Amino acid sequence: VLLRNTTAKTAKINLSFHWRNAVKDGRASIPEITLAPFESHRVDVQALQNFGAIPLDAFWAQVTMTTDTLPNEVMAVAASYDAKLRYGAQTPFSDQLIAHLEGGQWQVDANHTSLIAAGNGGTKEVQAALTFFYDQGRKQYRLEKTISADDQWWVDIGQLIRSQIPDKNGNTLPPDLTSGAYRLQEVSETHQDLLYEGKVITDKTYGHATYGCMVCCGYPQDSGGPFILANPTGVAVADSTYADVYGVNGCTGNADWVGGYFPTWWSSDNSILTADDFQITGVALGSTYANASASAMPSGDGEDSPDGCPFVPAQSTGTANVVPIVTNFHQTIGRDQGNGVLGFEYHWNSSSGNLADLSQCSVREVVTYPGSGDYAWSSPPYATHSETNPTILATAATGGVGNDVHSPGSGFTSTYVSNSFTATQKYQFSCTNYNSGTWNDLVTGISIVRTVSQNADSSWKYTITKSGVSASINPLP
Amino acid sequence: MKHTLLLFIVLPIAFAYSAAQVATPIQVGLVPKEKVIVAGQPLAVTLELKSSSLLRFDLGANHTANLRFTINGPTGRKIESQLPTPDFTVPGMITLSPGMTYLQTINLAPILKAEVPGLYQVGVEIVGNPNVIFKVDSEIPANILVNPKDSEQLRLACEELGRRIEVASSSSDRLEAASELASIRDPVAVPTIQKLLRHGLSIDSELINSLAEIGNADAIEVLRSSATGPDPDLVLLSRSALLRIKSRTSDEGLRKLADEALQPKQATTR
Repeated sequence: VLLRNTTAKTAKINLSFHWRNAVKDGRASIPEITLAPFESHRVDVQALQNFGAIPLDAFWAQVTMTTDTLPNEVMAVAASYDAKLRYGAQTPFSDQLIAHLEGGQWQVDANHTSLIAAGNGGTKEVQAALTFFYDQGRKQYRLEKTISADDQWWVDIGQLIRSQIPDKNGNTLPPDLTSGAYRLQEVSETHQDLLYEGKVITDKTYGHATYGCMVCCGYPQDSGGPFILANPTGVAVADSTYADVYGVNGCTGNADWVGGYFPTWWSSDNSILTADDFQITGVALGSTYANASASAMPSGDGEDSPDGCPFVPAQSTGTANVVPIVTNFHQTIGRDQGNGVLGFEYHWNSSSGNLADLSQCSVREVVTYPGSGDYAWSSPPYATHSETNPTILATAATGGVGNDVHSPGSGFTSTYVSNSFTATQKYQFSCTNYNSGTWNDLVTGISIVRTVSQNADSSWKYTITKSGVSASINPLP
Repeated sequence: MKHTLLLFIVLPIAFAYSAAQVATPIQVGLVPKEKVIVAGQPLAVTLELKSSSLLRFDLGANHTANLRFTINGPTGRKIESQLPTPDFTVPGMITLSPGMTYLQTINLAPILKAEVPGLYQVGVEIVGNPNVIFKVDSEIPANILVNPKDSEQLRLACEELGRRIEVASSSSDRLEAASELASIRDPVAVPTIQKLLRHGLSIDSELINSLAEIGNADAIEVLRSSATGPDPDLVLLSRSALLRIKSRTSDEGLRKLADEALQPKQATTR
């Protein structure tokens, strides 16, 4: 391990080794090193092994360097060469941790194998996933593992292929597979940013080892993120809704959830709404902005980043509207309108107190009949009649009144048989500027029961009942 | 003594209101939404009502039940009809202030589908208001020229209705435009309908029923998608629409497609 103090002051260095041999792993550290200004220093790992600080059969180690300097003031490189200095490999140290990295090509064949080491550089455990892509990205092989703090996950891809080790979904890599790409990600979406990674492709023929590093996948500001969802957010007075933050991933181009980076939320006008911890609450009708900020979020653009994964402060702002919605929906009239027709009148209000404010809102009825498909009324006793199932009828909400009638369909046949069926009705409202325009229940579970039955004198009658109100034709002609 | 005083106060007011209702006519205008359309587009008109005094009258359920239309088509057939009234409606009482104009767009497709090219003359009469005089504008009937079917023009008309739906400033405008779009029972409407579905525009049910009427392979594909959406009512409605297509079509291929769209999604294993 080669160390170089690039400053005009002394630097204190602590090196620790998390080593691995074929059967176990362990930790070792060496006495503190003090580097004079601009001094270069070599730590001979072979000597440490000969000395017994690290087992002789250890063939891999994660080396952690801690200094009393600023980042990049002390530079470190790990290098390994044969006795003639002809064959060897070098790898730089990285001082950045991140939640998502994308790797380049790995290679496995008779002469090559690829070793991937994923490490947890944090102080708490992390659930990580390694996904290998092959067949031109059409197929995936995914492994998951919990990596303890300061621990590593060591994967020999050649071993996975040769031993046909199944992944978490039970899939195996094809025996003739020779190359592909890979991705390392934290599985949990808590954005702990604890992972680092290294890959070595070894060549048995020539003794060559190629070092490869994944690229940081962050959310660069110029690729459309971070942004608040939903934007605009619609919320009613005294009602709350959740907002969230997404970012466009610099590697995949996908919109990823990045809310975990944004702990701080605030409203641009607390008299209209409040914003706190992903929650927006309406105070009064109006429009303002909901804001969220991150002290540091990854901005890696998917390009190779020799200086490590960049983290930058970020802020996200979205429009939030406190909008009127339909309230106080209630029945005012329910009556027998004659000829077996039931009539109802419903009234509703605007949460703003002004019905004209409901211009973006609709009210609808949904009547669901038994079974699937359009409902054909039983004939006899009914004349041929079919209803779309469910029957959905919507109207503008600004009137504040809706009339609903329930008739005996298309009438009756001349012969009667007993029959009864129940349709289930509900009323809902939707405002295009509220809750993404979804339909919200006003009243549900209303039964509309239609019955044809015989009287004691052998005549027949039709009765319809809803909400305790009935209409009938008795006797049927 | 108290009763006598009350009579003196109430009677003059009642007479005054009644006199105003009888004496002042409401000017009735009917303007084609588009003077020239192509076969397959709905006939649509805008009703304009004006008065010089304060009047209250009833247009009937959904503001249309008391409108009786007369349509003279190019075949010489005369249709006199009111629009069908759905079960769930808003009441049609209107209060017209002096100088105010009441405007309402009306889709006449439920009365007549203008499939035959030629001139259509649309007249209107407002019924059910015995105490109100309606004076019909001299420009009524409104003339609408229907050109022969042109798929490209029909497609453009669908796109324009789609744009109107997206930029509508109110739900009533949006519902009106959706009603017109749903009246175009032609395959060229499918891409516009697909674009509008499941966008929280409160018009999905109307459009899904329209897809059932179009009933081609593209419509089935859109219904397959809406049959797996998050709104359980629209899922049921989409499945009903697919069953309707399946039961009505004589095309074995379409029946098979509808059948496949109704099957539950299969889990994929690799």
